[in-house]
Formats: sequence, C-alpha cells, structure tokens
Amino acid sequence: MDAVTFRALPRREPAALSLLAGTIAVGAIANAPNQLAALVVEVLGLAACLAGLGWYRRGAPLLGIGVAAFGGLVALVALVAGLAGVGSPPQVFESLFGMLGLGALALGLGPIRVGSERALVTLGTAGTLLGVLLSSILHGAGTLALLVAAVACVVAWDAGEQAVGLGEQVGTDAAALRASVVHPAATAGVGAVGVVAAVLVDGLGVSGLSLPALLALLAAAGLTTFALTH
Amino acid sequence: MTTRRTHRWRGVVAVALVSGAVGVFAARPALLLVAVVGAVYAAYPHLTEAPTVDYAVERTVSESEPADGETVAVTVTVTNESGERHPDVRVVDGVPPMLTVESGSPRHATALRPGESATFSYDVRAAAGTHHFEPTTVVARDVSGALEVEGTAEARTRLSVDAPAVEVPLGTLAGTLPGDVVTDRGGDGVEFHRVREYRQGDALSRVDWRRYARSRELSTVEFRAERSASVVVCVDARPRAYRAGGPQQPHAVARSVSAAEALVRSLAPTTNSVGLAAFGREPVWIPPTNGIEHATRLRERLASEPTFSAYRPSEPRVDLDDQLRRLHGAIDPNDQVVLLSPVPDRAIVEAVVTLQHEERSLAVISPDPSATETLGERLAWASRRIHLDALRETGARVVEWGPDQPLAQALSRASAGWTQ
Repeated sequence: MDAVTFRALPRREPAALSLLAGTIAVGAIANAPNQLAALVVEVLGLAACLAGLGWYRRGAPLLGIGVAAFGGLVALVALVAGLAGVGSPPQVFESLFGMLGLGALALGLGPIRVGSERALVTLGTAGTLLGVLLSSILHGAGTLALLVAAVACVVAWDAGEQAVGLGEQVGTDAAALRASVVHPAATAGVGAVGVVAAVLVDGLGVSGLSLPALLALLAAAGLTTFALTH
Repeated sequence: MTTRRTHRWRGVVAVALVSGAVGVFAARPALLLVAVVGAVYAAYPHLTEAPTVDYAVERTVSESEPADGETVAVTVTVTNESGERHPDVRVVDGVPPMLTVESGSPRHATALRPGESATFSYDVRAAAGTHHFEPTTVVARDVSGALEVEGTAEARTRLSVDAPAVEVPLGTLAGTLPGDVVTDRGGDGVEFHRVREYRQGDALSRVDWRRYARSRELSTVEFRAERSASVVVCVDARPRAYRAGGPQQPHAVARSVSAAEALVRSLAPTTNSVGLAAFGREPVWIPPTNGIEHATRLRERLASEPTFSAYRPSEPRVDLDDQLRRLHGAIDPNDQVVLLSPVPDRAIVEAVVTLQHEERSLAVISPDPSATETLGERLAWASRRIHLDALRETGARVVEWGPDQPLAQALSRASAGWTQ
C-alpha cells in the first residue's frame, strides 16, 4: 500500500528558525574569538548532521548516515576543542551550557523521532539560557547583548515548540510556511518591545539606585501587569 | 467551537523570576533587566484575544463518480470569514474514513488575513461505495499561541464509486410476499421441491403427466416457493467497535457502515424489504420496507446519523441491553437480521442469542480489526476468535471480512462455504 503515512516529526522551517535563534543567543554572549569559532563550527556540524538525517529518511540511507555521522563528529570536536581552547573557567561554563543546549535542541528538532521532542527543546533552550545568565554573573556581559541573548533564547524555545506542535497537528507533508514564520516573528517582535522597555528602564538611571529600591520598583511594575491582566 | 489554553507561556514567568532572583543575589542589575523582558513575555499572552473560527470551505473533486481504485484529486479552499487576522490556522480536511490518501496531505497550516483564502490539494484512492466527506476541522491560535480555538466548517461533497451488487447473506426463512429468496416451502418457483399427491384445485400444468401415463396416479409437482425477505441491517457502532488494525486503516465502524450501504444498495432493486438498526450513541431503528426511494433514505441516514459517525463517541458507555430490548420490541419475528460488528466482546454475542430466538435467520458480517503487534492486540485478537466461535455455535452464519478484502469477495466466499 503506497498510501501516505502521517509523520509527526518537527517541521523544518520553524526548527531552522529555532536553531538560528539559539545560535544567536549563544553567539551574542561569546566574548572570545575562539568561543565564536567553536560555536560556528559546532552549528555547521549540527546542520550537516540534521541534513544527513533528512537524506537518510528520504531514501538516501548510506549518504545520509555518512553525512550525519560526519556532522555529529564535527560538532562534538568543536565542543571539546572549544572548551579546551577558551581557557578561563567562566567561559568554559557558559560555552558548555550554550553548546550542549544547542546540541539538545538540534536532537529534539531533527528529522528522526526520538520520542521526547518537547522535553529536548525545553532542555536545550534552558541550557542556552543558563549559559546566558552565567555569562552575566561570571564576567558581566554587556546589557544589550544580554537582553538580545535572552530574547533569542525565548524565540528559540517558541519556534522549537511551534515546530513540534505543527509537526504533530499537520505533519511534515502539508504546506505550513506562513504559520511557521508568522508566530516566531511575532514572538521576536514582542522580544524587541521587551528589550526597548528594559533599555528604557536602564536609561532612567535606575542602576544608580540601590538594589532593594530597584527591586521594589520592578516588583511594583510586575504586580501592576499582573493586576491588569487578571 | 472549543477554546483551549495551551499554557505555552507558563515557563517564561519562571525565567523572569529566576533571572530576577539571580540578579538580586549576584548583584547584577543587567539580570533584573532580563526579568523585565521576561515580564513583557509573561504579559504577552494576556493581551491577545481568542480568535473566532468562522471559516467557509469549498471542496472540489476531480471526479465525483470515479471507478474503483482510481486516483481522485481533492482541492480544498478555506476562507477566513471572521474579519480577524489569524496568524496561525491549522486545517484538517475530513477525508471519508474508507478512502486512503495517496499523495499530498489533507492538512494545512497557514496565516490568513480577513477574507483571505488558502488552497491545498491532495489525492485519494477511490474505493467502492458512496463516501461523504466529514466536516473540515479548523484550529486557529491567537498570535501568542496561548489560546487555541477549534471549530469545523462543512462543505458537502460526495464521492460515489460504482460497486457491483453484493450477495446479501439471506436465510431460507422468508416472508409471505413473492420474491427471489428460495425457501424450504413448496409453492411457485423454478427449483424442484417435491412430488406430492394430487389435491383438487391443483393447476393442471403442475400435474406430473408422465407419472400419470406410467401408473395412472395423479400427482402434483411442487417447486420451492420464492418469497421476498425482510432484512434488517444492524450496525454495531458502540465505542468498543471503533477499532482498527493500524493507524492507516479504517476502523471497524467505518467498514461496517460502508458494508451496510452496500447491502442496502444491493437490496434496493430487488423485491426484498430492508430496514436499518444500530447500537451506539443513539439507537437507530428504521423498519424494513422495499423500494428505491426507501433505500435512498436509508443511505442518507447512514451518511448523516451521528451514531454512524467516523469519530469515536466521547461517552464511553452504551447501554446495549436497553438498546437491544428496544430493537427486540420493534422488530418483526419474520425479519432477518444482518449484523455488522467486529465482535469486540461477549455482550454482542449475547445480543445475537437474544435476537435469534423465534428461529430468526441471522448473519453476522465481521470486519476484522485485529492487529497483532503488541501483547494487548494479540489478546484482543484471541478473544475475538473465541467470540466468533461462540457466535458460530449459536447457529448464526458468520462472514469474516479481512482487512484488505473486498466485501463482495468475503460474502461470496462465505456463501460458498454454507451451501457445501
């Protein structure tokens, strides 16, 4: 029977957007050139791995497995070499979480069924977010870079979730380009609003305030938002 | 329309709180600013409204009366008539359960402005019988994805595939009206029954003149009386019957409904009467009558009655005893019953026993929903075998209908077995 079988795999387009956002998140807080180089090599390796798995599924099994294995190896080497090369412990940690997170994200969004896609997407983006927070704690990354990285983490998670959800509801054989793009774009737009709001708060000179005062201010703002929406 | 909260932004509140807390403890004001971004995201899903699912569907098929096995292209156009922007719309077309999608996908996802349409197409392989498309399911999400509204839109489309008439498993016990069912009683007909002593009033053409020439005894030849039968086609559409052998295969209820349609269609041009009954969310009872119009009405009911829906009922329990009692009260003792059931449990076997008393002729056509991959499926397979054996012991004629077997073949094979 050559009937079309329904495959609930993550959709390619939002998955690519998710990985792109994840890369931006990790890249935005990288401050050493070799950190960036390791990241770029890892992402290229992961991309090759996913493309290879895609070919494997679509009837070129030998070539697919070969490319996927090569890509995976490249990503692994980049991870190890990157960690060995960056030197200082803070950078090792932020790179570790960021790069491992990207790996988990790629595994969750790849064209093979692993069973717990959502968990992998959450785990992966949580890893990149942890890297972002660590970079701020450990060596005080720039405010704007930090905000952009945080937004990119949210977009990566949201697009990844969209890829899995669309895959479940409409499958990989249906056309879904617009739905794949519009939703993550809106999320990125809201993120831009958030960044502007944060920069405005920053511009008020509140960082000169004592920490408790700033905290009280933010708590008040948060409560107001909460009260407005409930 | 049903509205669901997806709770997809729940985690972002945790992100805001964690980064805020870490910012406080590590004395990094920049992390508090991350919490501001988090707060914006936490507020985001509350600022959007639930979309209204108001869609028009237009469906065209390349051929509405294709031949069996022919590929038919189905083109679906959905139009956003809600007057709202829908950034995320997911559409699943209601492919008739007995048709398989050959290429393309009956699903589509897009973003639509007010009044905008999206078109997608896919190919199905035509199978014998009349197929009605189910309503198209439309799921729209607000821009944040926090609210998901599901609704349906309907376009009536029918695909009729000419199918040869099937051999209805009729018993020899038939009614009183003349017809084409050969009975065990003597009378008018074409098949020889017996020779008996001449009685006054017997037609002269029926006297066995050769025997008279030989022995000077008047005797009359009797033929098997041909009477019309009155048949009630009964579909088991209880939730338990919604079982399929695999994700790509139609479930037993869909197959039973299509078989019921074939039986009604095959009986329509004959002098036999046909009625319809069902066990399921609502019992169905339409008493047997003959005629093409009545058959058309039955086929419409088969296509539209909720009991025959392709979707498994949400209410899992059906009071079979009560439905059986009502059917038993309504059915005429002379009516034959053709039950369509995957025979999923003992209860349906007992229903057959109840219906069988008064020596009613009863046949069971059983679409095989068995899969044998998991332990549970093998167990279900084994218990179905036991129930089928129990059915045979009651004297009911059982037609086993394999997963990929045409109904006509299953019926003719079974009837060949009975006449041997």
